[in-house]
Amino acid sequence: MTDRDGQPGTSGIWTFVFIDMVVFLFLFVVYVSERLRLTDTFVEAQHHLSPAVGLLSTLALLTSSWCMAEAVHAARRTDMRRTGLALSAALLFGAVFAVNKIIEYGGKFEAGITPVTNGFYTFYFLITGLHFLHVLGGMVFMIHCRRQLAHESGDPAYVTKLENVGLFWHFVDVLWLFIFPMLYLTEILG
Amino acid sequence: MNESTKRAIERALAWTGPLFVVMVTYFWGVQGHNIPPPNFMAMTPDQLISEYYGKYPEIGPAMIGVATFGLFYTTWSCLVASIMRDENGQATPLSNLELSGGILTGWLFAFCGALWAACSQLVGQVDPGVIKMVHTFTWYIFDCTYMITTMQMVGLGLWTVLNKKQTIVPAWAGWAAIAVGAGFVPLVFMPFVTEGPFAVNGLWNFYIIFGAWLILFFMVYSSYILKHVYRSPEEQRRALGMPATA
Repeated sequence: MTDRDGQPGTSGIWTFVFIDMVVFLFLFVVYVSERLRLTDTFVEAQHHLSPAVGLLSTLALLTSSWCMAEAVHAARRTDMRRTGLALSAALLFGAVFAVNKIIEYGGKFEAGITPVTNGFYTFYFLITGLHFLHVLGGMVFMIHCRRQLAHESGDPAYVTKLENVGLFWHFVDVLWLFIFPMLYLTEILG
Repeated sequence: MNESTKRAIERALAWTGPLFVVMVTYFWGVQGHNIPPPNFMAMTPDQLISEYYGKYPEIGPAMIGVATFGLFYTTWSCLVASIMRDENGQATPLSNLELSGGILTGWLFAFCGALWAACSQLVGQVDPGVIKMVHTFTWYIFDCTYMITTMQMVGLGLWTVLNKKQTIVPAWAGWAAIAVGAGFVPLVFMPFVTEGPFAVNGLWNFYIIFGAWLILFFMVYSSYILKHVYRSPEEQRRALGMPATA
């Protein structure tokens, strides 16, 4: 059940995503302004980020997002077995992203790089950290949906709940599609 | 207490919100020369005296004004907490979050205002290093205890969003309050940077955060609360999602 004709999810999740998007937009604008001001510092620091690690994160999130979309489609067809499988797969790839990010942070701390090392790393830890919190939040919601599947299958409210989680998860994915090139690739692209 | 007295008190408390904004903007921002504040992390103690406290002697009285009128934030928060009830008229844990966050935020204005006033009044009597130490300590308390206000905003925001029967404040305002509260997180960088957007006078940690807090949170909620206290008792019950009285 939706409270907007033709649109998945409830109006609340759309409002949340819009406001969250505005917050990140502000962060991105401030990042770009600082990058223009301190170009040399930012370019030098970006040498220490691995585009391969960023690419792995991107692939993990994109695959997870695709699995989440599959879960929503299956739930709408009341195919609960496939919903469960797709949700588990979405969680698995979300976990791949999370583990990859933790390893990446660990490497930075081992190298003595912290949020106060320089302006670039303040943004790196802030932006990826906030995004990482979104990933963890999304995974908690997915775990909840996976656990409730047996009890709530066939309930239209469950489909709406899953659509809400799906929308949030796609938003987390889209955010990363901006973060990845901005932090990991702009040095390569020049 | 009769109904008309109760309503008069509610309306008076609701007006302490806008009054807080006007008075604190004037005393802290204009007369206190804090738009933007001096970037003390990049200043020597002597510079802090020559470019700020010594240059503007009106900072002392201004900060006493902040200490006085800053507590209007607490009075406003007490009113909001009393309005934040569920459809059965009961207070919720979220209203307690809002109340404790509001009380402590008001206290921060009073406490920090008094310390900045002391810095201003003691110029020439104590070593500039001591002035800088107290000034820095005060700013750390003011900025790095952001979780106090975040807690209030998240409590209020969640009540707004999750209490679907209430029509006092629209859901978007609740989401905005939560987002602005979360946007305070970069204040943790303030003690470690001397320039850029996360410095004490930086684009993010001063203009965006304080601007968003004032405009997207405080002004929005303040206007809806004012509207609510001018409703009739029956309309107020309906706005809270409570059943009509017989």
